Amino acid sequence: MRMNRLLKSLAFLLAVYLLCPPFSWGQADYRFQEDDLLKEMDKAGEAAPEQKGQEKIAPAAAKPTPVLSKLVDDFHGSLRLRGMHYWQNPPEREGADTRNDFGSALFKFSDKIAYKDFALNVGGWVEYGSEENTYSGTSFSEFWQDMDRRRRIMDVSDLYLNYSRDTFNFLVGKKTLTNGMSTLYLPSDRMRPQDLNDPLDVKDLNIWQARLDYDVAEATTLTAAFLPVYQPQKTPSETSRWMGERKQGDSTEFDLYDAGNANMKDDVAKVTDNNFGYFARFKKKGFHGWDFFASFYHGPNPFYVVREEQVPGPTPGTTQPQRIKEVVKVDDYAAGFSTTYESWEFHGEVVYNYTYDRKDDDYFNYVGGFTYTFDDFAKKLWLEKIDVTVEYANEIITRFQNAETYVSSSKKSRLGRNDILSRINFEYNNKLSFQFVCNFQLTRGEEGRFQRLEAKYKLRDGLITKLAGEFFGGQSDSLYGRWQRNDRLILEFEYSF
Amino acid sequence: MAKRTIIWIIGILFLFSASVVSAQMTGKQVMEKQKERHKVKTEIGNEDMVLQDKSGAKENRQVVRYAKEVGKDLHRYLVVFLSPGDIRGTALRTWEKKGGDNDQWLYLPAQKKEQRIAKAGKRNYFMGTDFTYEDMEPEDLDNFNYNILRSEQFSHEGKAYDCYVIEALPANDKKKQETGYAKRIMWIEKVNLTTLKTDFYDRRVKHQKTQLNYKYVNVGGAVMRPMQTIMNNMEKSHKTATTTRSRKININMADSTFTDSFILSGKHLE
Repeated sequence: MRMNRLLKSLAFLLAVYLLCPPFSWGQADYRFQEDDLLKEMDKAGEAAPEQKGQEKIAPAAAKPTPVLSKLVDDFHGSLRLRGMHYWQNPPEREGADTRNDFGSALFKFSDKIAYKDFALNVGGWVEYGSEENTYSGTSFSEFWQDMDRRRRIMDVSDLYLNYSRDTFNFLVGKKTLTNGMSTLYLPSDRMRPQDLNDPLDVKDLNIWQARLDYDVAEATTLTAAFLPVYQPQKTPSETSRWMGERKQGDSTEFDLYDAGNANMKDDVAKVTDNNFGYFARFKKKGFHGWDFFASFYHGPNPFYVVREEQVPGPTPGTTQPQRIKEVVKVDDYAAGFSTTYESWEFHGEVVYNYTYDRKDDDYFNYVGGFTYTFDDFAKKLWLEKIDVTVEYANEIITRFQNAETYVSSSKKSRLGRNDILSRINFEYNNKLSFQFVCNFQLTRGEEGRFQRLEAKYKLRDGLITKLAGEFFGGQSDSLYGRWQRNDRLILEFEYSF
Repeated sequence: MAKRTIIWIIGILFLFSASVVSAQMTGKQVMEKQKERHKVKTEIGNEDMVLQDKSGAKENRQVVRYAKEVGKDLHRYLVVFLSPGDIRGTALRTWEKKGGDNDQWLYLPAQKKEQRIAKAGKRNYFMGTDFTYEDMEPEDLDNFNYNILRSEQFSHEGKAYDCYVIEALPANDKKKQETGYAKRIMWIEKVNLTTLKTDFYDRRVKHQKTQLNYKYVNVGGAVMRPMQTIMNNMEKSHKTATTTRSRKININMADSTFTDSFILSGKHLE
């Protein structure tokens, strides 16, 4: 029965693929006609002024264009249509969404308006899909801090003003803040709240910030950022299949997905001076073939802990325990590097997490890995390029959570605990490529695995289609094990302009 | 009459002596002269790029190239794709290093971070073009032996040009290991020292691709640049053509243009 559905799904997706053939199929008569190609380019460029050396100027320095036409020129975006088919029904659970086919449409946009050294940037999305309890309207009352678990149908995720000079860039507004030099798993990239309604198709929520990037010397940048608003991650709905099997009984270890449990109260990290975040970074690139950074963060932790309080029970005079997820304050000290040797690129990163008042564990989280590029070997396989990235991540707890009424640390929400991660890119040509990504969690009792196979084909300028399969497995209490009924096929079409 | 004869004799002697001098030039000297003559302090060029595969299907791109000499024969380069939308913002930074390996980083907007590129990876084609990462790097003349194979008339754009035909071979084992080419053969026009054609031979010494440069224009002083180039890749039956739409040289350009801050702040797309 399961096999039949699998075959049906494959046949359907194959049919869709075949109905959208690459434009070049069936035109095998190839001859070099370089003059024709250049002539065509000449014709296309006739509208543009012919260049005669130095007197011509680059578009950036051309005469001022009206604001409206500049806004139109700088308007960019993409439209993505996505369909998913799950091969198995989700676990039986009250109210669970038992459908196996879903679709969504996502329109992303960005624009900017610049005047001298200032630039106002705006970006966001409009999205809707068929998943239940996943989309919400846009609430301007939560403009500064989006506390809704659901994904906004429309959002302005980028809204910032840049002031740029040769040696520094000052930014104020809402934008992503990335950190780290690793490739697949970045332990230090923690100031990056994400929408995990679909944990394998995450979306950056971005954070409010005032940030200065100052180039103190060539390729040496100091960054200082003030982060006034803590933005929580978004988790799937109670009825979503991504909640997987609910934990039974008195398990005291909770992960990010348990934290979405409606029975658990949320102690929101509100916008107060106590919850402000501060970030500083030193980054140097190209130093005798090495890139490295060191960073410091002080502020609310993205990973929840759980505390338990006694609250009045249903009958007068009684109490009952109430579990509350809480964001605690931490200091993160991080450092990392990237370098190359022959065909190898090596990278590594470590972050030390110190928690105030022992409300969470103190620990080192580290990753080390490499990317190896095959070229001659790839050509023997009629491929342009193969590159393999492998990483190992783990953590060392130096001090366990030990605070009164706190019953669960953030341990199970944290990634990179005895994990092997890998990615292999196979590039056939600039139109067709394949990718294999996997993550194996090796901790005893929490073994889990995730694998993703993807084929990507460029149909025409700006239009890409992807066909991917995602597979999960492992112990039922592990991150990937609880999704073992979520193996799925995904078909995407994305047009960017 | 006698005066005119003397002028003619002096002229002929001058030309003769010049040709003797040039005939005595080594391949390396020609390359050095070429580099010296056409070098600029800074340069920005906006290009249209067309990729054509063996079926004739085309892909159009817009590219901006930045270059700056930051020290004696030490350059920084930045290549940015402005379109199509799926690669908009992709950028390649190259830092030339004397006596060491050049640094190269690739920025992919989807990843919101740069990736350092390993040396062997430089033999790979850059973003589906027929140019490898190696082709995008500046040429360190000390890394190659340049031999003048012959002088010949080369027919190009309907004219016959007097050219040096120069063979470039890796000069040491390290370069032999790194480079994707066993040799290159260049046709360098003698008057303006412009490269009209380059044949690239792969590591098995098989003719892999040919680059032709067209419509050289003077962009200031003695500096000349081609307005069009085409790279014919026989191995892949694929080609990449570029047409320069605008170019500026020797303008003020901050060193920070070639840093990751420039890219991460989005200035590369302004």
